[in-house]
Amino acid sequence: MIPAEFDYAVAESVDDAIGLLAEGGDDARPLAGGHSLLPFMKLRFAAPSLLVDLRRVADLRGVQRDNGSWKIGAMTRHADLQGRADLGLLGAAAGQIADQQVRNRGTIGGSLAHGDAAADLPAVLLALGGSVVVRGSSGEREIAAADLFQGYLTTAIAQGEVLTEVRVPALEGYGHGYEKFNRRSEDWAMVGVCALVKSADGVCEDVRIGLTHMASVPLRATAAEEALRGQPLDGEHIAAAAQQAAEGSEPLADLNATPDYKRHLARVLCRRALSTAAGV
Amino acid sequence: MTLAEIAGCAYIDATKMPEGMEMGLEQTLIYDPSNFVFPFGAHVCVVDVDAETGKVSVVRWVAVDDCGPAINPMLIDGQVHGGVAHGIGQALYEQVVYDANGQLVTGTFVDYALPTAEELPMIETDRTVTPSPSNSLGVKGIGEAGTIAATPAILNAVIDALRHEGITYIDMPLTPLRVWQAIEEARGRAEGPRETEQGVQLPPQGEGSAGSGPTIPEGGAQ
Repeated sequence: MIPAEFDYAVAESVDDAIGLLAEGGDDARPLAGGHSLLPFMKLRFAAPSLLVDLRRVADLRGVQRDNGSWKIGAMTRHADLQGRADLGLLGAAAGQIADQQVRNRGTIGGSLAHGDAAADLPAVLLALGGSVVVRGSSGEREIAAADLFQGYLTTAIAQGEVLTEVRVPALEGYGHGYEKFNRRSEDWAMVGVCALVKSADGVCEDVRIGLTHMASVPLRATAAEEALRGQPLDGEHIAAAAQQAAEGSEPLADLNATPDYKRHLARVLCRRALSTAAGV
Repeated sequence: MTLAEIAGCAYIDATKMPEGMEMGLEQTLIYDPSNFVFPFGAHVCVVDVDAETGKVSVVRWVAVDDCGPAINPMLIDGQVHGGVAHGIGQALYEQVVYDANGQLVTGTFVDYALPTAEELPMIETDRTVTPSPSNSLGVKGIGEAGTIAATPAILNAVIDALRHEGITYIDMPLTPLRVWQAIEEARGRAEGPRETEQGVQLPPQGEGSAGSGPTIPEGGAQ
């Protein structure tokens, strides 16, 4: 429970952080809320040589509406997002992360950059069709959620880059549902399913389903989406579509679940999340 | 004479001690009760079992214990609350697991699941008062009462909820996976031998060693 020795620096701006990370070399890492990275360091799963703390970079914090999308600073705390009805699915999912103490410290950028398949926000970003903005010594680029998560705890963010902003479309007119299954309320998701449904006269005009912890990366349940799109939004059609929720997933066995059990949970949770999203 | 002066004599100035008394302020007495005390009580709980996922939630808890005359009722309630939390932990959450290589995989409180306030019900306590004849206060133990009563109360409630499925026994802890597997087996849908948790081959139901060994009573848990 004691981390390996590391150096620590506090960045005063994003450019300052980029400079410190470049000086720090290959094992330097940005530090956001520290609620994933620091436990990993204590377990010696991670041993960065330098932590560049972003907490004083004030312009990385805050939520702004920009036409049809939300721009959320990477250092915005989960507690700043939780329960915000105007943020829809994102606000609902942020409120289910771990417990209030973690939400008071953990950040949206830190969670996404960590890329844990059992965390709540990666699948939410994927379902929303959002993106992240990263900046490094060679400039700024935007990475779509579909390209961001590349493997277990591995993202497309390069060494030396800092995640600065999260962008999600506002998706007006969509209902949402988030079903997180765990043994205790503060635990990571054994399986999570988030759903966004747009209804037109009781028919499913659009649907997006994100799966948490059903592979080493978050997934879209595309088979279930296709099964429901264009269909009446009633219990029967939702249940039929949810049967496809685990198609294409590759859940790993862990302490609390077998792959078969996770696939079963995905189908059950998908039906519940879709029902909530569709209001049926 | 003040307490400070007494302490000063007892620990600093031996010349002021009364004749025949040694330095220090210590006294040892041994009380040997004539008999054990026998506290008793009953706990009743109501659980929800999500038949689709196997997740168990405790929705109501009523505990009536008898520890004789209540000297400090708040402390008695606290003992019962703590004991019930421990009992629920054993019944539903807590488990020491080693993988096939002998590596402990429940080495932190992330993996070794203790129930938190969110998982615990409000506990409704009450008392009957039957003084013990074996001590002058008539008091009886209360510290273990909750934990002794809670575990079987949960187990019996879950088995009662699943009785219509033909389920009479599930090994502790009643994790969602185990409850779901028991339902699947009862419905004839389980495929092959029981699946493994973290690469560990599980014993058949009823032969586990979840703290108590094979404990199937005649005719199943009633």
